Amino acid sequence: MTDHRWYWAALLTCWLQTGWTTSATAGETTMPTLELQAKERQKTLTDHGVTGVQWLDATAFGPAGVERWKLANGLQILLAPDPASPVVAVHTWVRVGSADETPGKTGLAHLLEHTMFKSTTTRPAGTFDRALEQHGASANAATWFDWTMYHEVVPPSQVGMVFELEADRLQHLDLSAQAVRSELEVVRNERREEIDDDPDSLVVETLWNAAFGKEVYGHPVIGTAVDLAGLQVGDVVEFYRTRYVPENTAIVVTGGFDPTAVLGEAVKWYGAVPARTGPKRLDKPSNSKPLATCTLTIDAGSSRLAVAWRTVPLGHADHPALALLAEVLASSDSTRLYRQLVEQSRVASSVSASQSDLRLGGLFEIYTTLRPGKTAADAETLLLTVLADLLGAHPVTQTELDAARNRLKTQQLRELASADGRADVLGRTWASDLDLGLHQRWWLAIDQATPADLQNAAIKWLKNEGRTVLRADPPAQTSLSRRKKGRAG
Amino acid sequence: MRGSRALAVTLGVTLLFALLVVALPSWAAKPKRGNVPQLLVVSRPWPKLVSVRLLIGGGALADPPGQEGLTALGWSVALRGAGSRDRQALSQAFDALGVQPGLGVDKLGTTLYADVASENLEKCLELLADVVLHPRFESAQVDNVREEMIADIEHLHDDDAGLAVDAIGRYLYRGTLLGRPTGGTKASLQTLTTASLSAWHSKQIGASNVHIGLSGAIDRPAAEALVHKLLGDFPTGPALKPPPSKADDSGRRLLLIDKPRRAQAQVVLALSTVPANHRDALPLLLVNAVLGGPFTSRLNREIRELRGWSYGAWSSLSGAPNLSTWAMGFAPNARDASAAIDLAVQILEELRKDGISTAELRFAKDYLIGAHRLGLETADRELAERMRATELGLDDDEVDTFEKRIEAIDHKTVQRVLRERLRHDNLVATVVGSAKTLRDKLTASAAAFAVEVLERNGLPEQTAQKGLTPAQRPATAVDAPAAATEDDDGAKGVEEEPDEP
Repeated sequence: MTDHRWYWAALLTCWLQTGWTTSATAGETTMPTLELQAKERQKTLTDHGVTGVQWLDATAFGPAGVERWKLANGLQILLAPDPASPVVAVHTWVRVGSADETPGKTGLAHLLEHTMFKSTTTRPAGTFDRALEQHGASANAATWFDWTMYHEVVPPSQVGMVFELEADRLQHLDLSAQAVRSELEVVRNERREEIDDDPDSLVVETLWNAAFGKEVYGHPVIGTAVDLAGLQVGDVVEFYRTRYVPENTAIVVTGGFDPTAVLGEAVKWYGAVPARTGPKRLDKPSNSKPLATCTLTIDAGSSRLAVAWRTVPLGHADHPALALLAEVLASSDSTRLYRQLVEQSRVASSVSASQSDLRLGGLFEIYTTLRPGKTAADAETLLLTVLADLLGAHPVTQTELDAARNRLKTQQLRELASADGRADVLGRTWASDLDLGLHQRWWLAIDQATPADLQNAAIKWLKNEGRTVLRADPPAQTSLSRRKKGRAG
Repeated sequence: MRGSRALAVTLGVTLLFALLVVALPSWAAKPKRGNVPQLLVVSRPWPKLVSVRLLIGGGALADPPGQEGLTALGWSVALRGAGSRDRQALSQAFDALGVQPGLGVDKLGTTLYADVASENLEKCLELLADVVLHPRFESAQVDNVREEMIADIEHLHDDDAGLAVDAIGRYLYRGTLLGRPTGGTKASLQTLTTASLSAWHSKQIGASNVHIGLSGAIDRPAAEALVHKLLGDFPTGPALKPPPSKADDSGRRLLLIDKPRRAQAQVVLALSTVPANHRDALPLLLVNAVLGGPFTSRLNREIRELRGWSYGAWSSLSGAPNLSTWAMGFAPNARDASAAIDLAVQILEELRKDGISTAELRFAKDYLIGAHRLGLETADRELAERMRATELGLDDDEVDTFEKRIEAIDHKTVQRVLRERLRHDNLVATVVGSAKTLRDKLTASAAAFAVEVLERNGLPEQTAQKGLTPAQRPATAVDAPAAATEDDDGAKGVEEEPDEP
C-alpha cells in the first residue's frame, strides 16, 4: 500500500491556504467563485502529484455549491460541502434500477442491493455494518426504477473508512450461492410483508402495471413473486459484473468535510476500481398502451381508488407545472380534492396526488382511501368531476398556485437542512442522467409558474384518453361496486 | 383642581373594582393570563427554515376513563378553526404560508409542530397561538373529526405492522390507564362533545403545562421577542403529571389477531421495565444496542442474516416517566413464526443468563455515543431530543451529559440490570396473521405463551374487557392502579399521585 502521509500534509497545507470562499452564514456561493475554487483545487492536486481525477463542473447548490469530478476509470465524485455541518453523508449512486431488468428477471436490481450488505472476498459478513456502527452510523440502501443508492451518515473523520468499505464491495462482493440464496429468502419475505399483505402497496403495484404494461416502469421494483422464485445466483453475478461499473457510479459527499482531502481519499480508494463499460441504458419510454380501467380485490376494511396518467420525465419543461398541479389538487386540507372527497361528500378519509420523478417518462397519480362502506365507484365520479371542473369552469387560481408553491418551498428547505437530504437531491438528479443545474432550473420554473402554465399542463396531460382508473374494493364490496358501476354506465 | 378630581375618580373606580372582585363568586375567578411558557431555542443559520414545536403535557394518559380519545380529538378540532378563523379560513391561512401544521398525540403529551420559511415565522406563530389558546370547537367540526377518527380505527386493521404495535401496548397494559387507545374507541368518541372539549382545554393550556421550541434560522433574542409578543398570554396553570401505571404481570401471554388471508405474521414481544428517569434506564439502552438495536445486533443476525426469516428484526426501549416498554419485533412467514418467536425468547433468556461481554459493552457505548452525536446534526433533530427529555421529565442537561453518563456505566451494572430489569416471565406478545396457520404452533411453542385469539376485525380492548378480574378492568379515578413501587428505588422525581386526569 502506498504511503500517503506526505500527501495529507500537502493537502492540509493547501486547504489552509485556500480555505473556502463561503461560509454557512454568507449564503449561497456564486458560480464564478465556485469555478475558481474548483480550478484552484485541481491545480493543488496536480501540484502535489495527485493524478487521475479531473474537475468537470460546478453548480450553485445548498450552502456552498457542488463540484463534479471524475476519476480516470469513469467514476464520478460530487462534492457539496457545508463547513457548519457536524456530519458527512456519503452516498453511492448507481445508474441501474428495475427498469434495466429483462423480462422474467424482475427484482434483480433490488436483490443485488440486498446482497451488497453481505460479505466480500476480503471481509466477512457483518464487518461492513459493524465498522459503521462503531461510530454510531448505519448504512442503508434503496432501489428504484432508475437507480440504486447506498447511503451512510458518519462523523467527518470517517469518510475515508466509508470509501474503503464501499470501494471494496464495488469490486469484491461475495456472490456465493449461500449469500445470494439467504438474501433471496429475505427479499421474498419482504415482498409478502410489504406488498402482498399490504393493500395500499398492492394498489400502487397494480396501478403502475396497468399504466405502463410490462415495460420499463410496469413491473414492480421488488420483482414479481414468480420471477423472484426463479432468480438464479448466476443472474445476480452477471448483473453485478455488467452494471456496477465505475462509469455507472457516482459518489456523492455532502456535509462538513474538506473537499481537497476527500478527493485525495477518493483517488486512494476508488482509483483502483478497473474501468469497465456497462450495457447501454434504455432511452425510450414504454410504448404499450395504458389500461383504461382495472379492478382489484383487496383484503382490507375499506376501498381504494387510484387514477393515473402517463406524463413527462424529470427534466421536461412541464414537470414543475405538474408537480404544482398535484399540490393544488390534494396536498393539504384546503385543496380541491380533499375538500370535495373528504370534507364535503365524506366519501373518502384521505386523498393524495403526486407527479413522479422518473428518467424516461412520468406518472401523475391520485390515490384515495375511502371510508368504510363506500366503494371505489362512489369516489370515482366525484374525483373526475373535480378534475373536469378544474379543466373547465374553474381553472387554477393565483391563490391556489401561491399556496402550492409555498408548500413545495417549505418541503425543499426541510429536505436541504440535512446532509443526507442534500446528497439525496444530487444523487437522484445525477442518476436520472440530468445535469446538476436542473435543481436550480426546476425551482426557478416553480417560482415563475403562472396559473395558465398549470392549466395548460393539466389540459395537455390529464386527458380522458390515456387515463388509468383502478378500483380496489374488499371482497364484500367488489360486487356492490361492480353493480353500481354497471348502473352508472 | 383637575388633578384632585381625577385622583378622586381614580380612587373611586379602584375601590369599586376591588369590591366587585371581592364580591364575585368563586366560579367567576379566572386564572391570571399573561404568562409565557418555557422556551427552548436551537439555532442554525442555514437553511432559512424554522421548526416550531409546542409540547403540551397530559397526553392521552390524562383522558378520563370512558372519554378515551379526548386529547386527540380536542387538538384535532382545534386545528379546524381558531380565533377569528373558521375551518376553511384557518386552513387557507396556513396554506398561504406554505405551512402544514402537524399533530402528534401520545400517552404523555401532545406536540403541535410546523416547519415554516423564516420570513413567514411571525404569521405562522400567530396562527398557532390561536390554535392553542383560542380554539373554536365548533360542533360541526367535532362531528367531522370524530367521524374521521372512527374511520382511522377501521383503517388500522389494514396495516398489520401498525396493528401489532398498537395492540402490544394495549395488551401489555390491559386494565390500566396506559392500556387504552390514544385515539379512543368508537364508543368513547361518541361521548365527547363541544362542552367536554372546552373543559378539557382549560386544563391543557396552563403555562406550566406548555413548552415552546423553535429551531433553525432564528436566534434566542429574536425567538424570545416573538414568543413574548405572540404566545405570551397563557393562563397560570400546573403541568399535568402522568398518572401512575403498571403492566399486567400475569405471566406470558400472546394475543393472536386473525387475518385469514395473510402470508406473513407481524410479531411484537414486549415487557414493562423501569422508567426513563431511573438510574437503570441508560444501562438498559446499552443492553438493547447489543440485543436488537443496530443491524449487527444478536436478534437481527440470528433471525434475518443467518436464517432469512424476516425482512427485519428489531428491539427498542421507549421511555415514560413511571415505566418504560421494551419491545422486539419481526415479520416472518406464518410457517416460521412460532420458531422465530421461540428463537427470540431464547436469545433474550440467554442474554439474561450469560450477560454481555466487555467487547459488546464497548461496542454498545461507541454505538450509542456516535448515534447521539450524529442525531444532533440538524436544529430540528436537536430540538426534538431536548423536548423529548422535557416530556420524559429528565434533567435539563440530559442531552448534553448523555455521553459522559454512558461512558460511566460499568460492566457489573449492565449485568445486574439485565437480570433485574428484563423480566421475561411476564413477556407479552401480539401476532397478526392467519390463526388457521398459526394457532396450534403458537400454543405448542417452547416459549410457553397462553394464547388468546381475536377474530378478524376484533379489537384488543374487547379482550381486555371480558372475563378479567377487577384489578384488570379499566382504571377509574378511584381505583387507578399503583405505580410499580418495588422498582422505584432509582427513579428521580416520580410522583405517585391519585389519578386526576
